[in-house]
Order: sequence, then C-alpha cells, then structure tokens
Amino acid sequence: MTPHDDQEPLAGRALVVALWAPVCTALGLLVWFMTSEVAGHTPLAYLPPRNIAEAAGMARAAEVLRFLRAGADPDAVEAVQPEIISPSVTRVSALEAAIWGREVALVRMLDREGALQGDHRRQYLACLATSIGASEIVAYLAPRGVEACEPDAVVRRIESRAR
Amino acid sequence: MRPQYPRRWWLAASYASALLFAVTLGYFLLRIPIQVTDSFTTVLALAEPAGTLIRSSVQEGYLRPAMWLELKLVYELSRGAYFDWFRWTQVVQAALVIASFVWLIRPRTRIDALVLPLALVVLIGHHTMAWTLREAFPINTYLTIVLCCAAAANLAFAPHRWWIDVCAVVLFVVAAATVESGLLVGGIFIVGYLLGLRGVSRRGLAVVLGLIAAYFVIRFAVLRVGMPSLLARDAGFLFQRYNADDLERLFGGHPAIFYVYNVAASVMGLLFAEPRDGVLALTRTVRAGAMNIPLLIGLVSSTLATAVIVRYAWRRREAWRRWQLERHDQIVLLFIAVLGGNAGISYAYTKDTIMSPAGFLYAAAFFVACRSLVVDLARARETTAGAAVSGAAARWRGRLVHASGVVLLLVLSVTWSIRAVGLHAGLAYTAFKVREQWAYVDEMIARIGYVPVPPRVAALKTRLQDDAVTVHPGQPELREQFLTLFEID
Repeated sequence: MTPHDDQEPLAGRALVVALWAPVCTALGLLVWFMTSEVAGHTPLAYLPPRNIAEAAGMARAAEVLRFLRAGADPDAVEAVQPEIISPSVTRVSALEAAIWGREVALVRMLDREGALQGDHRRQYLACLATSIGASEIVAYLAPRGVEACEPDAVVRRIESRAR
Repeated sequence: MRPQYPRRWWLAASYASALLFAVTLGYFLLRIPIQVTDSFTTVLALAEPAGTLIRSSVQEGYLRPAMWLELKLVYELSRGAYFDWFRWTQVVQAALVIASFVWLIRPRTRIDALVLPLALVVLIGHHTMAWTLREAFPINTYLTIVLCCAAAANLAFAPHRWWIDVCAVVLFVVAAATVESGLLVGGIFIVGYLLGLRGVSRRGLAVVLGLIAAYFVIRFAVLRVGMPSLLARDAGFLFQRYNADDLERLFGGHPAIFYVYNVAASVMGLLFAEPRDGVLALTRTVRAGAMNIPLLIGLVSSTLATAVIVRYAWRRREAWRRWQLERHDQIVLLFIAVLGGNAGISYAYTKDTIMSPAGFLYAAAFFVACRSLVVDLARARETTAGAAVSGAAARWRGRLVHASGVVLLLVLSVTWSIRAVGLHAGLAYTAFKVREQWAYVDEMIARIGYVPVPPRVAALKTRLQDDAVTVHPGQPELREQFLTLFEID
C-alpha cells in the first residue's frame, strides 16, 4: 500500500529523532570536514609535514616528491618535530630522515630524483644506515661495503645539531 | 508530539540531504588522483585508434568493447586533462546514481521524506558500493553498470512513451557490451514486465530479448569468446583467499561446489555483509579472538535492514500471492529478482563490487520496507494514544511495540550512518594511498617491462604524477584513532 500524505499517521518525535538524528550528524560531520578542508584546515588528520625532512621522516613519499618539485634541497638540514624521528633527532636532512625511518623505497626514490649524487654522500648515508642497523639500505647505498665508517660518531653528530 | 512543519519542508530537507550527500561524495572522489594500478597502462593504451581498442577488447573470456569506447570517448574529450575528465566522470556517475535512486523511490509524503535520508546512507554505506567509488580503471566499470541498472529500473517504472523503448534498447546494448554483469539490464526489463511495469512496451521488450539472444550468439558462436576460465583467478572460499592453483587443487574435479558456494556467498554477503568477497571475514576474526568492529557493524546493520525487508515481504505475502502488486511491492520484488540474477552471474567469481546493482536495489527495497515499518509504528502510536484502546495492557503493549521499533530504527540509523561516513573515510584513505603509489611509479613501470622507458610512457607518467603530487596535492592522512569504526582496508 502506498498511502497518500493525508492518509498517513504522523510520526512522533521519537521516530523523527531515531531516523534523522544519526544521519544528520553524519552528514553534518562530512560537510564540516569538507568545508574545513576547503578553508585550509585539516581536521581529524595528522599535521602536514612543514618541510621535506619532515615529509621523509613521516615516510610521506608523495609529499617528499612535491617538495622536491617545488625546489627543496633534500640535503639541507631542517627542523623536524621531535615525535617524528626521536626527541634527540630534531635537525636532519630529508636523506637522513628517510634512512632513520628505514624507508628503503623512499631512499631509492630520492636516488632516482638525483638526490644521492656523489660517492662521499652515499658513503656517509650508508654509514648512518649501518649505525641504526638498516641493512637493506646499507646494501642499496654501498653494495661493496661501507668504508671508513664510525657509526656512533655519525649518530652523535646528528644528535648534536638538536642541542 | 506531532510535527508541525508542512510536508514540503520535510521533502525539501530530505532532497537537500540527497544533494549534500552527492556533494560530499563528489568532494571526496575529487581528492583521489587517477590511480596507478589498472589505470596507467589503460590510459597508455587509449592512445591507440578506437578500432584497435575494440579489436583488442575481444579476448578469450571477455567481450567488453563498449567499456573501451567509453574510456576512449573520455580520453579524447580530455585532450590531456586526464585528471579533470576521468575524475569528474566518476563524480557525475555517483551523483547520477543518487539522483536515479531518489527518482526511483519518489518521496512524496512526510514519512517518505523521513525515511529517505536513512535509505540514502544504506545506498552509500553498502559495502557493494564501496569499491565502485574507491577504484577507477580510470572509469569504474561496475559503477557504470550500477548506473545502467538504475536507469533501467527507472525506465521500467515510467509511463510508456515510444522513446523509452529506444532508450531501453540503447541502454541494454551499452551495458551488455561494457561488462558481463551489464546483462542484468535486460533482466530488469524482463522482470519489470512480468511484475506489471509497462515503461518498456511488449515491442521494446521483444527487441531486448532478441538482443540478449544475439549477445550469446555473437559471444559463443561468432566470436567464440566463451567464458573466463572458471578457476583462473584468486578467489575467496570460507576463511581465506586462494590462488588459481589452490582452487584447481581444491575444486579441479568438482567446480560445481565452488560455483554453488559463490552464488550463496554473493546472496549472503549482500544481505548480511558476511561473507565479504567470498571470505567469512568477520567469522575469521572471531575465531582468531580479535573481532573486527567495522565488520561487526556491517553485519548488524545489514542483518537488521534485511530483517526489515523480510518483514515487509511477510506482511505483503497475501497481496503478492494474489499478484496485486503496487509500486512499492514491485520495487521489492525487482530487488529480489536482481539479487538472484546478480548472484547467478557471480557463479564463477564472487566479489562485492559485482553485486553493486543488487546493492542499489537493496537500498530501494529497504526504503519501501522501512517506510512501511515507520507507518505502522506511527499508526500504533496514534492508536495507543487514542481513545480506541481500552485497557492498560493493550496500551502498554502498543507502547512497547512502538518503543522497540524506535530502538530498531535508531540502531539502523546509527550503524548505517557509521558505514556511510566510513565510505568517505575509505575514500580519504584511498586518496592517500594512490598518491603514495604515484611517488613510486617508476618501480612499477620498470616491473612491467618499460626498460628503458619509451618517451611516450615517460611523458604520460610525468603528466599523471604531476597531477597526483603537485597539481592536486593530497591532504594529510586521517588520524588512526578516528578510523576505528570504519572499514578502511
């Protein structure tokens, strides 16, 4: 039966609330989220990376690439929030951050983008990877082995930047 | 307390909810770049002439020329603006699905208006719809078929005009030549006619029947395309997915068991949200001692919604037996028929997305059943409150029925709203994942054999990667603690 409006009983307040309140709340949440984003806020989300080093530390490859395309230097030492890598490592380059995050795919991507040029740089980063036990990255950066590496010294040097 | 607002206000609010859902869905869809998997190589192939694409679309087991023509059309119209054209195509398709849904159920009364938003969240939040929106190749073929089936249902329900027959024929040809489940469009016209719908006339139906016959002749006798190899894909069975070799080992001699399981899993999955893609996913998590809450929400919401539909069918059984069908009965019966047909098509391979046409009509059937429940509850409330009821026992019984109904509707409304928001969260997650994949696309290009990378491939990669990473940069990832109720993966 498909009653006309005048034949239908009127739903009480309880029925109206049961049917509409959750749906309206859901819709309101979605509209609020959408308008907030359009206005430049990112509710319910992690804070966006402020620079390429933070992006690398958070393993956000697309953001790393975006910073690179915008002209960011992956070798420049940048300030990084203490919760991203560790409270003692707050000033690193994107390359160092990628290694600290043990993100071999990100390291390979940075390499393809030309960020790893020069043997000296590769050796330094391989040494850092050795110091944190990222063997896959060591094998990628220095397949013939790491030369003249003092792992503790590399870590100390990076940590000292935070002081 | 009686609602004092006029009916048109309720209807306006109800239609506004449909519009807002279309807008939010569109917004979340536009956050997703063209995906790497299943899209990059497709866009590459679209540079070929249409004739070549059609010829290559006829392969062993597959006959999908219209799918390639649709892709080619959007590709040519885009003139290189791939993101805009392909992503907006999905947005428009999703909006048209919502519009078709509203058009099919035609809210007219105050109670219709009350129920419509809940029916919309059932449509949007249903798991069969999720991957029609979260994926695109770069047009989601299954979403195209949902749209075709929605249009077919609306044509069947419309008053007959000569041009409706023409539209029906064109729609069937497009749908059947897009993907195999497009044959459901023909099924909708046939079942609609049997149910007494005359939007498509007897003559129009005869042409569609002729085209269905022609389809099978062309597929099996002329082009000898046949069916896909039945045990050629990964598939779910009971508690896990198996690869083709495992399936061959399990069912090689007795595939009928596997087919029956697939049909049953498709029906059960649509009605109860368990199994998913052929796998008893929730049961598996329960057995492992770590119940998955989003899957539980899916089970509870789907089971309750199905129960409401079953209640409607039970209450209308006498009218159905006498074949005295009204529009709402026809919607529910059409859903039941499409559910059977859709599950039958999935006999060799079951996947939630394939069941999306039945999912669309499930939401329509739910609207019908839910409004019937609301009418009964409202009537019970009025009767209980009125003078007709004598005796405290009857009054209390009436109140209890009303209160139980309100609680049921509240649980339905809460759980389905969670699922609808969850779909949007899933879209946000997909946007994030797809962008990350674009950062690593060079590795994929090397894996599929483009070494060295030809200039044409490199140019397209740069274009799409720029679209994904710099032209339409992503938003930050949603915090995990806000996602615990949603089906994200």
